[in-house]
Amino acid sequence: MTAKRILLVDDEPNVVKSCARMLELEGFAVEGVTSGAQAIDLYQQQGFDLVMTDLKMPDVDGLDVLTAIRELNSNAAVIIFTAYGTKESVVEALRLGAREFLEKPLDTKSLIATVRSILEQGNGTAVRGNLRTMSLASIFQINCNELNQARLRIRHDGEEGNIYFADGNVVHADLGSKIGEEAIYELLSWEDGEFELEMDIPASERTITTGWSGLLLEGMRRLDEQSAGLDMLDELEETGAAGGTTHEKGVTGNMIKELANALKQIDSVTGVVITARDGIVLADELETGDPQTQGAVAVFVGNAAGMVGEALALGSFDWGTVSVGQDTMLVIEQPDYHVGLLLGDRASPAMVAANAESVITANGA
Amino acid sequence: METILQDINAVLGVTGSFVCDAKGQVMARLLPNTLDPKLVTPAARTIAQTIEGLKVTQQDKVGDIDLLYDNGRLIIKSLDGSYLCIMCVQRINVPLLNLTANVAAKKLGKMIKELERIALFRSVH
Repeated sequence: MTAKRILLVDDEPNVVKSCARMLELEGFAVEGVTSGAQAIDLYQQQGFDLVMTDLKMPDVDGLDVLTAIRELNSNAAVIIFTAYGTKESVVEALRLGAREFLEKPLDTKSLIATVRSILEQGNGTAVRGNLRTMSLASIFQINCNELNQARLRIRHDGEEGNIYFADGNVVHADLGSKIGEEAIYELLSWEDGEFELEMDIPASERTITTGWSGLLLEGMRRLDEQSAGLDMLDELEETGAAGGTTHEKGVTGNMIKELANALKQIDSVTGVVITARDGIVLADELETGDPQTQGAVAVFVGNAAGMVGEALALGSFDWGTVSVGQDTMLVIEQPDYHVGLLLGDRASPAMVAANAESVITANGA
Repeated sequence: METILQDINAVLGVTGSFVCDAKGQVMARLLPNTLDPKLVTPAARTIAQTIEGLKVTQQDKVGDIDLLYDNGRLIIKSLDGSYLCIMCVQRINVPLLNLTANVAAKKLGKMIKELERIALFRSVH
């Protein structure tokens, strides 16, 4: 039988040498190169069963190699490995079609197992990974934003669950005897587990109608309920204790409630929602609307604004406005939380932002 | 598209602009020399994913987004399926910018629709 051919790319010759040796001992035919440009040329000339590339390389990096090779062959199997993986780079690599994202130093056993597994799958289009390197929240975001129809299968501690995506939503989930949202919340509590994402697999039924961000927020709320941090916050809120004692975010529950109330008094503010950075609604002063839904806007915009500002060298995010339907929300960045203020028709966002900053400072939150 | 972006960049206080589609792919850009063009791609993707996410979760139309930073300001205008992003100084005269930017947004929106129509025609024929 002809040996499977692997193209290995790393700018460190020693890594190429040792990794190639390791794979050759397992019976693979390995071609090693030390630049992304060489790898693309070689792939174009010879084609390979699998490409393994380092992420961080000068000039042509791993994502460039992945993109170029997937343009040459949309079914190409590519593994990315790196010592400096960020959540964003994992998401980007898997979004661009990488089959697996491995962290350096490469563990011989798991590397060989991964290579064998991918090569055995042939040209299948499933994306595989582990929840440790890519969270369920990121998988939800990618598949829902890209309107994918897909099935996500997750295995953890002998259990197996499935989540189905369609038309920008999570539409069905099952885990043992649990189906729908109960299965989702259980699956969201898994921090570890192998996953496999297969495109174009429809759900057999629709058991979920809640939007995906609502599912994530509720999942996070349930997780936090189990943690001591929120128990303490609940206790503070129930007993009305304040001053001195802090919860995990560094601000007491009462302070946040008082802050929400004080912000609501600002001229032209029609509603207030304060959310932790993980999306938990800490306090709200809303006359209409769902706090979770409004909180999601503040978190989405606040988190995205931070990332965009960093990428475009605009510095730290201070505040911003977003119009959704008839509502305009002013989102104010604070070290531990986001403030969302719903504005009236003739409000000046700059003036409200300045007033709100004064209120936040005065409340010591 | 670059010509339209030139009109926007000519407004006092504008430092750069770009257009991206709903998937975050940059369709045109006119940026300051100090900014690495590679960095625009992740920013565009984050912008598109956030707005598309908001549309889905809020089940409503997302209008202009105005973000203020320590070193500048970013104004995002929806072009019906794509986005015009304008980088400017913090204290830009927004009504004055809107005079140019809203006209530019309409032109860009029409142009993008036309490009999509041509692409669709080519894929069918």
